[in-house]
Formats: sequence, structure tokens, C-alpha cells
Amino acid sequence: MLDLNQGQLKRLTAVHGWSAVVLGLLLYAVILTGVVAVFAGEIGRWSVGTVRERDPLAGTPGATVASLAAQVDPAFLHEGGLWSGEGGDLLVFFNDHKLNPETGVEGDFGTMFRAEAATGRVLERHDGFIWEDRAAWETSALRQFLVDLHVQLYLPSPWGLIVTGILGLMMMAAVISGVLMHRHLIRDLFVAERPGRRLVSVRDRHVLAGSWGIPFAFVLAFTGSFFSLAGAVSFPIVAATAFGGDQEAMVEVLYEPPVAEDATPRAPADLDATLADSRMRTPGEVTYVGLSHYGRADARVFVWHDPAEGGLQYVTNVYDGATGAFLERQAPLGTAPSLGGTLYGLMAPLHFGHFAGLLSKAVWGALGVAMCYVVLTGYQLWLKRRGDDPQWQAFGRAVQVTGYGLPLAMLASAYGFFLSRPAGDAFWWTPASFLAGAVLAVLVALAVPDAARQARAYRRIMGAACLGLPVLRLATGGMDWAEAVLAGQHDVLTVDVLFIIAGGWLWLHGRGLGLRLAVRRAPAE
Amino acid sequence: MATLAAVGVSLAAIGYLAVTDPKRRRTHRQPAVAARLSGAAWALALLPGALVPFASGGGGFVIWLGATATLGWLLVAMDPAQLEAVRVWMRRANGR
Repeated sequence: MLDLNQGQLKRLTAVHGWSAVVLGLLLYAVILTGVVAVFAGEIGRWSVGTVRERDPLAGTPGATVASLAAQVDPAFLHEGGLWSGEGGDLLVFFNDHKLNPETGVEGDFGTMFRAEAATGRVLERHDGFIWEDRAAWETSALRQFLVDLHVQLYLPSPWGLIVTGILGLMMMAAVISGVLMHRHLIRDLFVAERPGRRLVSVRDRHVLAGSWGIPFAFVLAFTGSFFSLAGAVSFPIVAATAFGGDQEAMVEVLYEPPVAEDATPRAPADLDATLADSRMRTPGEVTYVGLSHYGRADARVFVWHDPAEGGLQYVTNVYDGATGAFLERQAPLGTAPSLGGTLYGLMAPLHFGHFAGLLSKAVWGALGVAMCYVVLTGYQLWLKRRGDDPQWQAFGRAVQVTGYGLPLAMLASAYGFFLSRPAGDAFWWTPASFLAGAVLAVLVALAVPDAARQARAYRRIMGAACLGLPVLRLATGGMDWAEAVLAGQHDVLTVDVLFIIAGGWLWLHGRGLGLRLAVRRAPAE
Repeated sequence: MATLAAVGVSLAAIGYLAVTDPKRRRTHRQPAVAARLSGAAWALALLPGALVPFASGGGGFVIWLGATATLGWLLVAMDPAQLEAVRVWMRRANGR
């Protein structure tokens, strides 16, 4: 550890504490929504709950893609992709690039189909600037809202990304300043909270959780701020300075192996055979198939795979789209393998944590919860030191409302989603219900001023909300458990059971959570 | 499976380091232990991390690190009375 003098230590403590006071509640929101976003796939399948006997990309989508390609404007065959929906549906998108007059930037303009993978029957068709129309590509408004809340705090782009990027940088700064401030990191690594609810007890609680979480807090903050700022700031700057503002040209250099232009029409290779070959070469599941210049001699097919068992890196195999010949395993960045490319390729698995299925997701979820605990115990420590000041007491109440209000509002958004699903616009009602949940949290705080009783009220409300969600899901047309198991939708049963356990625990045993944040006067040390 | 076994071994070593830790015992008014094999326990806690990549790849290593950090924290965060309660409960569960 660096040997800091008293003045340096004092300044570092001020930076560590004040940055958390100013931005910590937003950081808490990003981390907690991140915990939920880790399980985005499960939440999507649980909330939509349609029959899924097998992943559509594990089957033979070739005939469906060929039939859909024949139905679009030939200019849209410039680029395309296909991926699985929540059930047995396949999403297929063909597009070109065009200036979007509404946003003022170039966007993907084309046709998106949602088709039944087994029969090729078109379920939905959307035309235009597809990414601006969430209903065209997202079947679960709940999943989309929760992920958006994590990625950009539901703020307009690029401002939301810039805010979450700054929060990631702040989290890194908090980790580094915390390490520098704490001189006896190893010596205190096994010191459990001292009894007596004293100032030192709160300090033990914060330091212990923070110390054990150091490596992952840094990794998650670094990768998170990278993803936020790369898209919103870094890549546009690179495109503006090195490619004259042409982002497509930049993407081609960074991600796509160079292909000699040849617009000669050519029948596409058998996509099913290409997928079968790719599965033989790479054991991880196919998650996305990219198509370039479909129906031309210079066509390319990019098959994306999850990491194989024990692996971390996602794999993309590149094929000649006209002959079906395997060309290469694509480097994560650039056109040849490199250290930078490998590090870049590690960003996604280390941030999203879905490289080893449910096991890695469970670990990532637990790490996120631990980080929320670090943020909240940091507030406890800060407020305990300032317990006599009425302004800080008011701030303590705000922290408690946010601490409990955010999960409560997220539960409310799920209620809004299920209630609006049968007839309403779930993309509107889901965020609206989140706001209603936040208002409810504030009303509870106003109705129950005593901090301990208020915390109990929050836990009871959240417990009841968790217990009620599976019932509401069923009542609004969701799959029952027997049907879900028979249809291969195990996520429906798993998430329902987890809500019932969480609800029961919050209702019956919630008192020991240790999250009461309102200020109490610290006894003299 | 190898990853979970590695996490178990590391947690066992962390548990030993925690219950014999001099500062922890002092702050919770427990007598110091006469002899403490801290070097061996640290080696046992970290060794699975060196072996896991061979058995479970890079993904296994990252899972080991994340699970050990989280569960290790939960284990250490329990005060001596809570740890004793867990020990008694486990003994009773074994006796059934």
C-alpha cells in the first residue's frame, strides 16, 4: 500500500465520499438494474412464456431465410441477420443504410420478419428504421425496459450512455481510492463486523464487503464504462477523425475482413449446411447469424457462437455465402488475431457474465448484489458520521427511499407489463408503472416517517409484490407450470419459484436485511 | 464440477483463516489460537485458482474467482456466534 500522509488521506477520503454522495444513488441504480439485466434472457422467456421446444437457430432456418429474402427490396440484401425469439420464432432482418431524417444520423433501413421457425410462416413484418420501433424486434417490453434502464438509465441516447459511462469511471475511482485509503487491506480481510452497532461496526461492514469485491468491482466498472463510452463517444470520434465521419467504413475496418467487391448475382449457399459445419467446428451454441451481400458472388455468412464449455471468448466463423466454404475464425477486433483483439473479446463475457450459462450468471448476479451492498453500507458509514445534522438526516431518508424504492419500482414495472399485455401497449405501460412504483415508494416514506417501521413496510410490500407476480402472470394469459415444463420453458417455472421464495422471505424474515439507512446518532468511540 | 470443487476447497481454507485470524479473534474478544498454519491455508485457498484453468478453462477460473470472492465474503462476514450456529447446525444435519 502507498504510505499516504494525513493530508493526502483526508483529501482521498473526501474524494471517495463526496463522489459517492453526489453520484452514488445513480450508481446503485445502474448496479441493481445490472443484476437484473444479467438474467435478461430468462426474464424475456419468463415474461413472454411461449412454446419453445428447441432454439430456432439450433434447427434448419435456411429455407425460411431464402423465402423471406425473396420478399424484400433487393437493396436490403446488402446486410442482414437472424436470431432466435423467446419461443419457436425466428427474427430475420434485411437492411441497407440510410440517413434517418428524424435522428439526423445514418441508420439501418429495411424489413424485419418474425417467422415461425418450424414452418417459415410470417408472424409479423415491419419496414423502415427498425431499431427506432421497439415492438418490431423485442417481444418482451419488460426485458427491454430493464436492460435499457441499466444501459442508459432510460435517458435519450447518447446522454444515457454518457451518464452510465461516467458512473463506471466513478466506480473505478472509488475502487482505487478505497484501496489507497485502506492501509490494512489484508490484515482486515477476515474481520467481521464488530458488535454494538457503533461507527466502527458500520466501517467494518463497508470495508469487508468492499475488500472482497475489489477485483470484480474494477472489472465490471471498467468494462461497463467501456461499453457505454465506446458507442457514445470513442467510436464516433474515431470515425470523425480517421474515416471522415463514415461510421460504416470504420466498422468494416474494425470488424469485417476485407472482401473484393463482386456484385455478380449468385445463388446463396445452403445456410443449413453452413450452420451444421460451424457447429461441428465450434461447440458453443449458435446465437446470431450475420449475412452480407446475400445473393451475390461476394456474399459472406458470419456465424456467432457462445463460448464452448470452459471458454470465455465468443467465436465467429466466417463463410463464403456463395460457395459455403469456411474462410476463417474472425478476430474479435481487426482482421488478424492480436493481444488488443483478445482483450477486446474478453470485455463482453466479463461484463455480461453469460459465458457459462446459469452458473456464471448466478455468480455475476451475486457479485452485483454484493456491490449494491458496498454502496449502501458506504452511505450508512457516511451518514453515521453526520447523524446530528438535520440536512444529512433528510439525505439519509432519501437514500432509504431509493434503496428500497428502486427494486419496488422494478417490481411495479413487471406488474404494468403483465396487466397491459392482454390489450394495452406494454412498451408504454411498463415504464409508466415503474414511475408509479417510484411514487408509491415516496408515499410510503411520507406515510411512515419512522425509519425502522418504514423499512419493514417496504419489505412487506415488496414481499407481497413478489408473491403476487406469478399469480398475475398466470391470470393474464401466461403459461401454467405443467405446460411450461412440457414446452421446454423451464425459465417460467424457475423464475416463478424464485419470486415465491424471495416474496416469502421478504414477508416473513425481512427484518434482518441490515439495510436500514436512516441516520442514528453514533455513540462515542 | 471441478470448478465447484475448487470453490469448496478455497472456502474451507478461507473459513480456517477466518476463525484463526488474530485480529478477528481480538475484536470479538476471543482468545488467540496457539498455532496457526496461515501460509499453508493461504496456499490451499489460492492453489485451486492455479489448477482450475487446466480442468475448466478460463471460464472456470473466472467463475472460481467470482464465487470464492462472494461466498468468501459471506463466510467471513458471519461473526463467531453465527459461525458457531452454522457449525452446530451442520453437525446436527450430519447426525440425522
